[in-house]
Amino acid sequence: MVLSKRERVILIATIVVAGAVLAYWLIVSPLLDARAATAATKAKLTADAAEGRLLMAQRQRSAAALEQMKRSNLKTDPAEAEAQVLHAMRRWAEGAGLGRGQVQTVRIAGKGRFSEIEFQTSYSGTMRGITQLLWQIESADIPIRVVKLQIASRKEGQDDLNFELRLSTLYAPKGQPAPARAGGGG
Amino acid sequence: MMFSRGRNLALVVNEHRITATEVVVAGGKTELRTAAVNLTGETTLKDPQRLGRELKAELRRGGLTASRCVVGLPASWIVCREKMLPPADEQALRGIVALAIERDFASDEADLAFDYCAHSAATGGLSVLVAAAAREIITQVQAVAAAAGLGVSAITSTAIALARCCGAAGPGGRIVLCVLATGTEAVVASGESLRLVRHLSVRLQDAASAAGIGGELRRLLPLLGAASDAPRELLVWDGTGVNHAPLSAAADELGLAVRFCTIAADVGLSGPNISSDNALAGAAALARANDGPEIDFLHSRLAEPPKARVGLRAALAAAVAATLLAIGIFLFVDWRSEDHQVSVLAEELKNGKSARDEAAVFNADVRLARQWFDNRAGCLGPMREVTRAFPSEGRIWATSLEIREDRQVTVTGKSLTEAAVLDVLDRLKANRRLSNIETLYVRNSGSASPAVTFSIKLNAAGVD
Repeated sequence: MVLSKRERVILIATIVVAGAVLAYWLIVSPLLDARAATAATKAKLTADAAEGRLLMAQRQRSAAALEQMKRSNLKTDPAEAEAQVLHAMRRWAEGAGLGRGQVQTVRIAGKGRFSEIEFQTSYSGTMRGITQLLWQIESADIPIRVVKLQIASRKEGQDDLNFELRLSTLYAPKGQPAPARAGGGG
Repeated sequence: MMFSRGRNLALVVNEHRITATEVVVAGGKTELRTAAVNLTGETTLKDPQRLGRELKAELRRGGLTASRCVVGLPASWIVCREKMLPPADEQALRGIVALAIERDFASDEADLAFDYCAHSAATGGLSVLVAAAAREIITQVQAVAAAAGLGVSAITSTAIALARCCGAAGPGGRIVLCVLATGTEAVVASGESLRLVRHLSVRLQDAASAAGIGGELRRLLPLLGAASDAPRELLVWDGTGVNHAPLSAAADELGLAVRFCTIAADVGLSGPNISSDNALAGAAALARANDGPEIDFLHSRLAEPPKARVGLRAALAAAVAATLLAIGIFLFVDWRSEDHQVSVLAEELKNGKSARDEAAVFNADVRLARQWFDNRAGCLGPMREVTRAFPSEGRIWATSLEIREDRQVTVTGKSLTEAAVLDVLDRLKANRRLSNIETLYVRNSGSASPAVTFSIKLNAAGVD
């Protein structure tokens, strides 16, 4: 079959275009897709690795903070932790003029590597005494926090109040894994 | 044309001997070395291997070390025809000359090697000199050179090389007479054109033979056409040292101005250690022409120039394809590299997973524990903000207050008027640190008085 020059050009152009389309469809497009997928995976893994490094750095700071907590009267024995709170509450309540009130241990629960002891306390006194006691609790150097507070007036028009506090303290039971020093990132 | 730097080797071949001459140009100095092999007995061109070996030995003995050479053949081995052709381009000229060769020569290219040189003639057309040599001789010469360890750059005519050394001829033309021990050769040139190369049967040995030369020249002149085209100058390369007087007399008789050429003046070869013997002039002229002699039977102009194996379009297409391929390879290699990095990264993450999980749990535990130390959610702050919302004059008062650890605050109280409750509510809502302020109830206290009881719930998470 003899082709004219025009026909030959058209045939070559058709073959070239078809070849290009075929090459794009079979090779280029899958390759670009694979590259894009790899790039996305790499970006995600790189972000994960950075997050991991951040986590390990945070762990170092957390370990230092835990050491500081242990130096700040974080007990390992529940009885010691309970006694520490009971003594502190008695001292603070008397200092605030609230009398001895009632203090009762109500619950012990685990909180991760720590354990929590809750106390139910009730006092009678003035608003001044109550705020003094609350200030002592909020600025204490022992692990203690207010879970719930209820104040109710005993006699209307007088500064004579019933004061109920639900408190919580924390201790680190023995046998929990020691805070390991942070390793490498990633 | 000057000698090229380095070693320029020429072999002058004739029936009796092969003379090798090497002109060495280096460091501003020119040196001439020679060697020769006589063709006698069994040492002939018929046995190129033997001749080549002997030539090799002589070259070594003479200190000629060039690896390529130009070979000059005697005029007696060459047949020349002059053709006057109309102006034509190179391709057309090649075709015309090929047709002329078919017509003028009985033998074809299997037996003869052809070449031609063309120059513009004074008449406006082209003066073409077609030269032919026996293919067998060309093959033998090549074989001799190969056996001597030499590559052949060109095979040409010694006489033409000598004629070219004398520069372009004047308008009337000239005859260049090469007087050699083996015979006499004449080249007729007009301007740039070569018109005739002829071996003259007479040997120039004495006055009588000089007269014979005069007769030979007289017989040449009619072959050159009109009287106006007749040569006016006779240049003589005397390689035998004969008496010049008879030659001068013969030239005078023909009306030709005679000049005797020298190797120093015409070939440009001179120096303290260089012989002025004109017998070496032919080889020296060939050595000077090693970058492209006028006639070259080895690289004939009749041969079609080799077509480019790849056309421009094909080359462009190949370049585009190569570029695309290179891009593809780069993309592929880059992808594989990234893939490898991903694998390494994934492996590292997999290996460090347990440590990261442990760290996350540990960090969460410590964060939780800090709520019992420096991150306590206090109650005094919410109490202060709620207290500020109550007026000091005693129209409304709280009877109970509850604050939970999530800072949900519930205030219950009494008021003399409902408006006072609403005032308190407005003040609480105006406080930006409090949120989700909600009235649980406002109701009459049950007596006939307008006093009401109320309960308000709010969130004090924003309070320090």
